[in-house]
Amino acid sequence: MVRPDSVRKFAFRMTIAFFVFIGLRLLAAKGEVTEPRAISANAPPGTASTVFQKTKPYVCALKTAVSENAPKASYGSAFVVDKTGLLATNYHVVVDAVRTPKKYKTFVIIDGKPIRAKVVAIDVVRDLALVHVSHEFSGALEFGGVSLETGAKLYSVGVPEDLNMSIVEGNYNGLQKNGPYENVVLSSPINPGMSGGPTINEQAQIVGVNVAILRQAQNISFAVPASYLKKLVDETRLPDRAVAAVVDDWGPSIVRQLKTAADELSEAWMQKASERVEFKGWRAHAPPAGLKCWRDQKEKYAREANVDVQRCMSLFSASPERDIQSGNYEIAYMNVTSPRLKSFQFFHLLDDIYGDLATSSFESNGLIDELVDSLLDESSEARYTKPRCGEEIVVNKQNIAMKVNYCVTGLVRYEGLLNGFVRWVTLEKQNSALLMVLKLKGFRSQNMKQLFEALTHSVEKF
Amino acid sequence: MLLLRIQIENATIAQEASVTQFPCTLGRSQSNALVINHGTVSAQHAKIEKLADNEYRLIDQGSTNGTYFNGMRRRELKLEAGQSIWLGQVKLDVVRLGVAEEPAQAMDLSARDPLVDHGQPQVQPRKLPEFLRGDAKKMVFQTLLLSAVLSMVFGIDRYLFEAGKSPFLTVMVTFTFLMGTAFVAMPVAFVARFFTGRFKFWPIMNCLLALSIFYQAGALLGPFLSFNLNNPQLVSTLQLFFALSYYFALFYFLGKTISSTAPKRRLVAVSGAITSCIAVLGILVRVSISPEMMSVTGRISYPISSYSQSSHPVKQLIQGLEEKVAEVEKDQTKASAVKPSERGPASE
Repeated sequence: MVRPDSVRKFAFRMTIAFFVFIGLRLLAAKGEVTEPRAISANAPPGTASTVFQKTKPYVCALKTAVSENAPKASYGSAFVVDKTGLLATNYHVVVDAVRTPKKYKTFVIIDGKPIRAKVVAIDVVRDLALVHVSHEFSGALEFGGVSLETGAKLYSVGVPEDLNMSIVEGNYNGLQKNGPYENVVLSSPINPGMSGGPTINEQAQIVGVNVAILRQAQNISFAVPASYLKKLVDETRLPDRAVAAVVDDWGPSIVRQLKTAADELSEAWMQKASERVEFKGWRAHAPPAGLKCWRDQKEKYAREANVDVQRCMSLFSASPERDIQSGNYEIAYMNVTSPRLKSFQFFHLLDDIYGDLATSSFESNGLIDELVDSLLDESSEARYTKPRCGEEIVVNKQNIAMKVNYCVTGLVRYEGLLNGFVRWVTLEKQNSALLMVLKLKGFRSQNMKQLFEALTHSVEKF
Repeated sequence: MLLLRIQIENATIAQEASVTQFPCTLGRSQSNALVINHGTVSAQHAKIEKLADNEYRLIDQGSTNGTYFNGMRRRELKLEAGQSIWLGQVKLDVVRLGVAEEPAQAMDLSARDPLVDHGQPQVQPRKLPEFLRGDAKKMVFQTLLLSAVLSMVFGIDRYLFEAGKSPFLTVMVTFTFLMGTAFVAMPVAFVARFFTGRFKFWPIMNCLLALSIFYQAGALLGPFLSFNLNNPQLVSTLQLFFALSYYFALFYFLGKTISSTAPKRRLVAVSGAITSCIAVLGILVRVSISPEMMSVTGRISYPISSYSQSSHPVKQLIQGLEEKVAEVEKDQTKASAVKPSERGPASE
């Protein structure tokens, strides 16, 4: 027998689209793919085959592996942005080589031969990387200068699933922006392995870099806008076309980028300081722009009370390492009302709900589980420090008394980046209460304090 | 004069003794007026005093295995005809108080004129089998009464704290539960009594009731006490206290139930102590890991009335956060410092 609650939960989960990288695909099989050389020469201009023909010489497969001929650890695509041997790809494609350089190396496969490549620039937040190989290409892909209209035809090129180099056709569907994250939305069936390949227009100019797809959706893909790549290339390419020195440890640079992203995210939120979400008799700081929000009734407590929930989460995040997310936040507001219950009964119910918020029994996904895991599971120690928690009963500027519970953990190897989990519940005697849950991943302590304070003070009655 | 029947457990023949000299001492030692030679009877076990005509009192002289009447250990009790008293495992029946001729006379009188009540104490022939004699009816009645009272108390408090439930239903559910345990316990007690003549009912009930009371107390008082304290260690200590009381009560009553002899009681006490120690260890382990855990799953502070006194400005909250962040950052530096040896530079 399935409880209606769990059915609901499942349905809810289904609607939450997960953002998945398409390059991080562990393939066990060894062996390079030999590409068929035969291409029809007389295809009409503007079709997929002409675009493919123009692009093909500048797109390569890329693998990270322990050595030249070893089976790959991860697999993706890359494309030439400068004929002196500079190729663009995704950060997540070369992440192993960046974070564990002693173990993994990057190889670009040119004409079926793996050639050692070195990571010369990264943009963790936008998920971009530049690699350099000692190989002179015949040319490079150009950046497109024209702004696109929704519906414009785009092509994505790459080596899906370690098969033949492929081209897929799709349409431009605008940009999706949230703080530092900006992505081109495409309707095209991008597959694992095509990460790092170019998304191009009909003139075979770079529009973006294939980066991710939306799981549990049909053919919704994302590409990093070319402007970010251009900026990175311009920064990296020195005037004399020499390439920047090899970086020994990317750590500090990654931390710097993540911190900047965290600042941007919290600023984006603070810009909304005057905006409020409203519930029956309650107001609180509105969620930041760019988050996806759902609002519905919670059935679990329907017998005793009316629970109105709004959950907002960010689609994008930066991932400096596999299984580590940074620069991602999530907020839930919950309004509990019950005219029927006596105040102490109401309080008891509220206590139950408040307790549930901290456990996975309340459709929590993510941080709290990690927090609890890090208390119980030793393996998470490698990623997070021990959670430090506190609680307080406070009265804010609007004279609302609240109970606050919070926990903070740190990301190991990313000094100054913290995860936070905060719960608020108002302690008014009337039978209407507001609860809030905030999850922050990879934020700085200043950001955390700022958001913490702003949210606490924003709660008011009307 | 007092006529007593002394029956040693498992012996088929009972001895009768008539006591005329008071005070009369009973015990295993030869110096007693009435010598009862049995292992469970102490050297100086008890003494019978005469208070007035036909009024006698039995006083326990600090015996090891005790003097029991109706399943209860007694320090002293007034003797009445028809009583069965246990000295250790020896049964002492009070056959008759006063002179032997009197009851016979009374029976004659009543036979002659049944409408006249002569006010003489009479020994009625027993209709109930022996193992149901005495407190059986009282026992059932008291159990019902106690269950009713407790279920009212528990039912009401559950109604108060578990919102949205029917008060009638909660009381009925609790009552049914308590009666269920009582009626399971009662036949067990009867059967045990039938076979041993020694198994006591009330200690079992006491044990069950103590369990439910401590359970309820822990469930009710726990959150109340823990609430405003904001101190996980203290909360755990309180839980420890409740757990210890629980085990103490359990083993105390269990010991009373089983203990016919001192060594057995000691055994029960020792096993109780061991179990308690294990429980304490378990709780200590919890205390050592729990502070963070409890904050993760922390709940609202309880007493609604007291939040206004214990509340602080938001500044204090931020200060608290800053402290935690500082601790985390220290951990982070420590954890990150380990890494460079594992993760070398890219150049080879």
